Amino acid sequence: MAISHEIAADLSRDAHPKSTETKNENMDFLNILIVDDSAAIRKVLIRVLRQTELPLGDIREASDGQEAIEKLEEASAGLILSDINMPNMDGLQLLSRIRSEKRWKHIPVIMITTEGSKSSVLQAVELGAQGYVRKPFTAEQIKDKITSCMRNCRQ
Amino acid sequence: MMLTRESNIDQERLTGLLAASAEMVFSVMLKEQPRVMTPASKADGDVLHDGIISFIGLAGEWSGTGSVLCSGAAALSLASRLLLIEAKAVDQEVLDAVGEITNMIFGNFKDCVESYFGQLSLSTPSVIYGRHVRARDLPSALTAIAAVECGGEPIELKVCLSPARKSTSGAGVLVSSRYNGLR
Repeated sequence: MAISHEIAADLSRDAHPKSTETKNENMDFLNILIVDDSAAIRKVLIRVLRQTELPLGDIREASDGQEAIEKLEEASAGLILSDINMPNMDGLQLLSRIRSEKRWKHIPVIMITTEGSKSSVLQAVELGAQGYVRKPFTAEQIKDKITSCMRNCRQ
Repeated sequence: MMLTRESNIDQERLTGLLAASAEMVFSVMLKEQPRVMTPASKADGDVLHDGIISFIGLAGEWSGTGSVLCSGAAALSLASRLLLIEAKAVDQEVLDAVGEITNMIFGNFKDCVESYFGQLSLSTPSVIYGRHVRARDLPSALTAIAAVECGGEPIELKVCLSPARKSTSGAGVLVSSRYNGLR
């Protein structure tokens, strides 16, 4: 799903790097919200993201869709990485909620999940996911998916 | 050996797919190629276990459970490799890591076997840690056990599946929360 210029504008607006000393001020810093009920996977994803050399801003965590909504209420995000199979509010419900809210519907969402069945993938795409990464994943897969997702969003 | 007419998959193939799923998860996430071993447990009967049992439910036209059995030492090794930490005690973080590895192994296994069993859904994993933990399998049409060695510690994988009754859609598994750390 192509997202147009609105995203690029939002990426700039959402960028709040903690330090600009080591980062190029002309780059868009990516504020990422990681949504997964496994603290282990959130930790692994943060490590992987830091290995990618992507221009990262804040990385925040939520343990399910409901907590993700609360985090978004506090501050928007430039990208959401979300699991599907979670308690309380799962990743597809979260995606549906995000796409139904005008203030969030432009945020790119990449699903990172063990769910690899065609129906799950199709459902996520139909709901507006920009990408899909299967667990287990490598740092390269995460970087490639984010890079292509952000490139598509800026076009 | 053909186990059922419906499933059209033999136990050897099922065991191979289980071991292959574990190998894939361990090599990608833990950067270790595990050695496939002969499992110590038998396909039927209770398991009396000191250490960790991580369960996950499978539901669909067929339903049942997948489980990972390992010692506390094996869990520490798995968590240390996954999280790049030096885990010294089996705590919530370690149990979480074992649960997530269970999730990934059976997530991949599920995708491998859906062509035989139809579409399957996974529950969230439930991890039990304690001494003399007795796990009793529900009677199942298909049981497969595989074992791998990771960091010098054996890890056993088991899957039990039966055709689901038409009136039920859930797996016969006691999973209500992600972790149940019993000590």
